[in-house]
Amino acid sequence: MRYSVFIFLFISALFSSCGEKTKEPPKADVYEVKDIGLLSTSEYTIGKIIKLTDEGEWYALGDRKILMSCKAKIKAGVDLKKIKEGDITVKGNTITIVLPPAEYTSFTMDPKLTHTEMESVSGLRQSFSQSEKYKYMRQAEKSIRRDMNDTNILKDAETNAAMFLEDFYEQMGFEEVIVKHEKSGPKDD
Amino acid sequence: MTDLVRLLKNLVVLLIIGGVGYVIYLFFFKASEKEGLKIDETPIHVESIRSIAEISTVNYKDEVVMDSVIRHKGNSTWSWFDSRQMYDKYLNSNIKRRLTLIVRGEVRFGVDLSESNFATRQTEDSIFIQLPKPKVLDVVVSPSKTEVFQEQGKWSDRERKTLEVKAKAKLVENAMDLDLNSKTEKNMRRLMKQMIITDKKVIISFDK
Repeated sequence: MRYSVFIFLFISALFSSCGEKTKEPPKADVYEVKDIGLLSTSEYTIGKIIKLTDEGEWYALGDRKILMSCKAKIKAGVDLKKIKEGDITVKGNTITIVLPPAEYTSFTMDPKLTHTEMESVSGLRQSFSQSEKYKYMRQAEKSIRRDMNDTNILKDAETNAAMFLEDFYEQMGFEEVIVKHEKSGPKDD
Repeated sequence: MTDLVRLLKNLVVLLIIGGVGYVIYLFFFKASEKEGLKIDETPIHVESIRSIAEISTVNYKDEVVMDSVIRHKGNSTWSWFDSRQMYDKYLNSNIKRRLTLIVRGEVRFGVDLSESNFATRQTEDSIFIQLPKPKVLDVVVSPSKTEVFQEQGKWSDRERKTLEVKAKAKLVENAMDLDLNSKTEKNMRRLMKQMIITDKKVIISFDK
């Protein structure tokens, strides 16, 4: 009996202490500095609801549900570095500029704007970990990146870029400013 | 000899009980992260639209590691009865909870001309352009570029967000250490000279 009690306590302690050992964080990679020339002219803030129900496997008792909201800030404009020689021509007081097609210039999902609105865990299930929440946020990001092509952001960016350059060149003293756009399909950043 | 046989018998029985208990724990209690879980298809909604005029001329790309560690406090006698705490104390550097994020991001430097806040002046042989002071226009971070390297214990959204905000600040701090504002000014001058086709001399200056 003495042995039994001792061994039982030992095994209980062993199982209850089974934990993951802490790993040392890795060293960060080397940075990169790049010269760019992006003119961003349109900014859209897009919201999305992240909805998930995890009913679990047949043996799991209970289910888990989560509702999160997130926002992405997307900017679009033109890459001025893509303007080639001959794309800007001047004839007297008239300037003609051919701009490259509008593209997405930045996509940011601010962590401060991601919220868990509702979380429900029933039975013997554990609550959602931060790693799991990240997985769902990544899926939401993919979905926003796909669906943003259906918005008018690129069209707005082209219109706004033309307006900005007209104003800019008029201030330089040009009387007539003609802005043209190269045509191309939408591109993800 | 009889005692030794009994001990071995007990050991085998208790190992079986422990094994069964562990299997029950794995099936019913341990959080299983199913790879195939997919979020429901929900529509996106455009919340705001803004016309801007930002010219970015320098892009700084970096990754930062943010580590948050909570250690066990105190050294009471009761901790001897907490096997988990004992494990952490002697085999896990006394760490109770730990969250480590690897955040990859970009910091964009440039000038914001959204308010038409630039001025031009011309003389017979020169064009003077006064631009606003260069600044950080964007800190580009997203979940796809953020990795949870390790998560031990339970972490709240608020704690995670604090770590992410610190990561963004760290990215900006690293970029600032390289004095990228002067590089931004240099690139902006070059870009403007490419855009302005004139026989006159183009002189670009920035607000202080």
